[in-house]
Amino acid sequence: MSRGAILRGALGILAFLALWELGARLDAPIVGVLPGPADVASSFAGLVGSGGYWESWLASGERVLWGFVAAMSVGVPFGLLLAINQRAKALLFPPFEILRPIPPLAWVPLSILFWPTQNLSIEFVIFLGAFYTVVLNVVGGAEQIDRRHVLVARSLGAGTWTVYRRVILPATLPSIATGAVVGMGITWEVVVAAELISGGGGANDGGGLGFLLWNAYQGGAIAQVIVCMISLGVAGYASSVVVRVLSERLMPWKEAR
Amino acid sequence: MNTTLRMPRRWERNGSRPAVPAGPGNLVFEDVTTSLGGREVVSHCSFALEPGRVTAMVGPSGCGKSTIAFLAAGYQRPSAGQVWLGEKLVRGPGPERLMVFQESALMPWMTVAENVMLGPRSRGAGGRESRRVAEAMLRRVGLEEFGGAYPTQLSGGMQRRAELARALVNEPEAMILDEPFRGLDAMTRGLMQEYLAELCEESSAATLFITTDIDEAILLADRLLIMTAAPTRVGQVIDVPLPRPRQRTAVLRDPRTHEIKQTALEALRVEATRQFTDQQEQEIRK
Repeated sequence: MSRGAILRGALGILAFLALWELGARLDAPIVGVLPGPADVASSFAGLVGSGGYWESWLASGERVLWGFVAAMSVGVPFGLLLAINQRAKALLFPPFEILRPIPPLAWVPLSILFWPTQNLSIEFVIFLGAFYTVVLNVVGGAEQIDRRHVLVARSLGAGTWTVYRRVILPATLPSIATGAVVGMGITWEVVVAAELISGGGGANDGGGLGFLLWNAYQGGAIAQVIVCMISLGVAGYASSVVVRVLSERLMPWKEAR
Repeated sequence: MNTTLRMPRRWERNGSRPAVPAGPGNLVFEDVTTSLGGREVVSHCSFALEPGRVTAMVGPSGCGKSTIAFLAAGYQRPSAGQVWLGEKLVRGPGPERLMVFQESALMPWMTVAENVMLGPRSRGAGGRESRRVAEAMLRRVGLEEFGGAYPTQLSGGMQRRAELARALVNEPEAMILDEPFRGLDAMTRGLMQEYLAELCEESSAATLFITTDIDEAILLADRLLIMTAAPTRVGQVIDVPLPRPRQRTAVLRDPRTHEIKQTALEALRVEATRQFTDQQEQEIRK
């Protein structure tokens, strides 16, 4: 990023904050009900000191991580199987398509029944949120593999395993990465809602950012609600960046031009 | 010089082996017929490729030349007839018969060296040994500096050379080149033709070079097969008795070149016209 771009970005954020502060002070419609950025900042300063805030980050982050890892490690092989084995696709794709439109949050009650701990229940709902996206991207990517690459590998003497590992998997990697980035975005949407519904675990018990947000609202601490919202934004952005950087690492040929 | 195909339409069988040109290392099509989607694409096609010689296959576009390439590589099985490599019946793809596709089929996720090493590695050679032979091969095609580059970083001509290296490193008994220079600019194409002529002269593989360009075919080949309109088979065989090593200027100056070209063009014109009218009729029937 050039210095000019950074400067303009900072200017945009500053202008946004100024408008918000102004709106809050002048009791403008909608924005008027909110505390201004200055109040939010002081509320943030208060929260940072309390243990519950960082534990909430940790709790939500951990749930997202495990849900996401589960979605990737089940979704990628499952997607490859659907793309490559016609019989498996004929058998498994119809139920997949019936289950797919069910919003992940509709699974919360069953998830609570399925799993012994609240954390596992939330992680399962997160897993579902990312799983469908990952699978669809993998299937789409694997079906567009250049057939000649598979033919060449077979001619050169590659067995089934080598063809999977050295041709089909790397050829699908860009789609897997897309699925991962989109899926990661969904996990943060789901974790908040899942924590709202299930009640997390308790404020000082690592209830999660979603729980913290809801708790603050019920206590009338709107500034704290906004702190949680911004925290979620930062968390979602940061994890998308991590996923993107990791996937670029895995695909050095995409950078080489 | 202009001889029609001397092989009988249906070869006499001698046991299960082809009766006529069954030299060791010959790639032989024996009365091969094949259909795609209910339509016959190749019909009673017979020819033999000999080791160390280049056979150019010329025919109207859409006549079924690529299907012949797929049959030779073993990606497709004939509906009738057989394809042989020496004594062995071709039943599937294998490193002894390698095909170079129309446009680059290098794996974009592997470096040039990794692409070239894929064959030896896939067949169980060690990493160091594979790298050594791959580097030697890259030197032979003038790409020793580019082993660590990704294919997208190479020019079109360099990609084609890398692909030739990926095939040649396996020392195939037969090479099938399906319009390998299509899509290259005229300048690069000319250079690649001269380059391939040189490689072929060093190689002991039986080479099938498929093209629509007669000048290219005459420059490279020892023999031209003029293919008929679809369903295709060999319509005419024309020898190219020009001296080797081939040099473009010498080939152009040789009076025989023009004679060969004339004969080939006439034969090709008939087939191309037929192919064109057949295709139009099919369009109308649709």
